[in-house]
Amino acid sequence: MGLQEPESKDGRRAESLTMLGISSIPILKLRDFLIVSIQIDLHDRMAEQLQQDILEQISQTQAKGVLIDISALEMVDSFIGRTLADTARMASTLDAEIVIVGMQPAVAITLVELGLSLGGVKTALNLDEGYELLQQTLEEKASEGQTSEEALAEEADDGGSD
Amino acid sequence: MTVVQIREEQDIVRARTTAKEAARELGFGLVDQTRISTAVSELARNIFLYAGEGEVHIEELNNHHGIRVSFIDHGPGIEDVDLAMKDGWSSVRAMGKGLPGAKRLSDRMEIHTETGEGTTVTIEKWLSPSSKLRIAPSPKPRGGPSLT
Amino acid sequence: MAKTKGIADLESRIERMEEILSVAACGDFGVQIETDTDMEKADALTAIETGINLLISDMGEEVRESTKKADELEEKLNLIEQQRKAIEELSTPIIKIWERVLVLPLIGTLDTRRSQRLTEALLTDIATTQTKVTILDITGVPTVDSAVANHILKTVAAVQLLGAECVITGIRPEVAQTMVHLGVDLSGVETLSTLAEGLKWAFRSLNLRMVEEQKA
Ligand SMILES: Nc1ncnc2c1ncn2[C@@H]1O[C@H](COP(=O)(O)OP(=O)(O)OP(=O)(O)O)[C@@H](O)[C@H]1O
Ligand SMILES: [Mg+2]
Repeated sequence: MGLQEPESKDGRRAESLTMLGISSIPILKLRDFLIVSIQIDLHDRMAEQLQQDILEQISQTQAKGVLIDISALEMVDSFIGRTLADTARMASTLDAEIVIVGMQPAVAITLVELGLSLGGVKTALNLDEGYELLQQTLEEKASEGQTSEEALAEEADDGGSD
Repeated sequence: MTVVQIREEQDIVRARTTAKEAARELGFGLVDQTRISTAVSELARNIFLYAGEGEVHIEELNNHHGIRVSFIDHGPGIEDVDLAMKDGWSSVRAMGKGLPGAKRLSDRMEIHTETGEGTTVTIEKWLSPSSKLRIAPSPKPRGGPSLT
Repeated sequence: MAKTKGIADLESRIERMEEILSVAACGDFGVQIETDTDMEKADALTAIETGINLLISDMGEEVRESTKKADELEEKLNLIEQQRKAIEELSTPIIKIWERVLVLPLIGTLDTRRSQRLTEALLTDIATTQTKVTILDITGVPTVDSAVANHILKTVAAVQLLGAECVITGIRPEVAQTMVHLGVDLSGVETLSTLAEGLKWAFRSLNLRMVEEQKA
């Protein structure tokens, strides 16, 4: 599979992983995006590990977006929910967008009753739509960047004519 | 009754999967199963985080009326229960959703706690309001026969 | 009567009485003490035996009667529950109004249980049909207090977690007023006045465009 092994000097980390008995969740890379599919019931340390892995992969691959498929997750409690929301916030400081995909209806209902809204994390019904949403967001970002660059250039022009 | 010991972090997963399975066997629908396993996850984690260890007791309520899960620990206890029940209050700067959230997800919740002694939290989820009303026919005759 | 007669088999008959009484005490009323039908042989104990027999059969009858009543009551409760469900389903149709667009016209009052069932039905529909936009029309909700508003907001939040969009339509002016007075935060929610506006919004969100056909 497309599991990305951390590079060279991280041999130490791989060792500590086996020691802790954590089987890491595969992170696949597709063009500018990373795809993660959570297929097992996450215990807390695994969720934390996943967060760390995703952030490392973003910085290593310069990925612009991450799709996290949680359609196999039967339960999201406050810990997993907070870890997912935190990961999304942290990713955006690395200039990557996270979209959470395929949440089960029972999980969504329970999360809302628990009192969690996932703090504005982007969601999509399935991988296809998640992919589209990511592309759309990136295009918007790019055009915003452009206009602000243009605005800066104009300002500079104004400054020059003064 | 099923008992799940909470000693390490993975036990939280064991507690919630056991509770979910019990709920499914009792006839709860998928959403209620998820409510129950989520509440159990929160309260079992509280044992692990704040008391270090304890037990989760999962049992059926009388006459298939529902499920009861008790979370028993001999940890530090909760100093101010009203405060702990407040949405968003946490002694460790977490989200403070565990206790109030578990209450919202269940039909009844009770906390018995004493500082220095420990904490017992009990939640119940009932199958349906009509099953609560079910009247069990009493086969017992009233009093013994009198021969006067 | 039989005063002068001696009592035959006194010990074994008393033993039998005790036995029968204890069986009855355990809830089995199908038992009776065997008595001589021959009136001539009746003695002082026969009257007691007959009395016990009568008592046991009466109690059996009574218990059967009350069990039957309990069964009937349970049947009626089940019927009421079924009817309640039927009414609930009738009052909350989820309509697929366009490819990937659902309309849920809310009618009547919303309590916790009803709104929970509704949300469950709606989310299941959204997930199975992969519906992109849901229009929640509240024209038929007579009063929106903070509890009702909360139910609606929770439904919207759950729909959004699935990755679908949700717009609330049919907010009457007085409802808008009370919502603001109650401090209901609608900032994260799209709201529009009419169902038609909602449908237009849905089309836009699906990148569909309505065009008037030009007559040749
Ligand atoms: N079993 C327990 N023993 C001792 N203290 C407890 C126990 N359970 C809860 N508490 C106390 O009650 C507070 C509130 O608990 P609650 O589960 O609501 O929030 P939290 O654990 O702080 O955050 P969250 O559950 O959202 O991650 C905790 O911060 C803790 O101080
Ligand atoms: Mg907690």
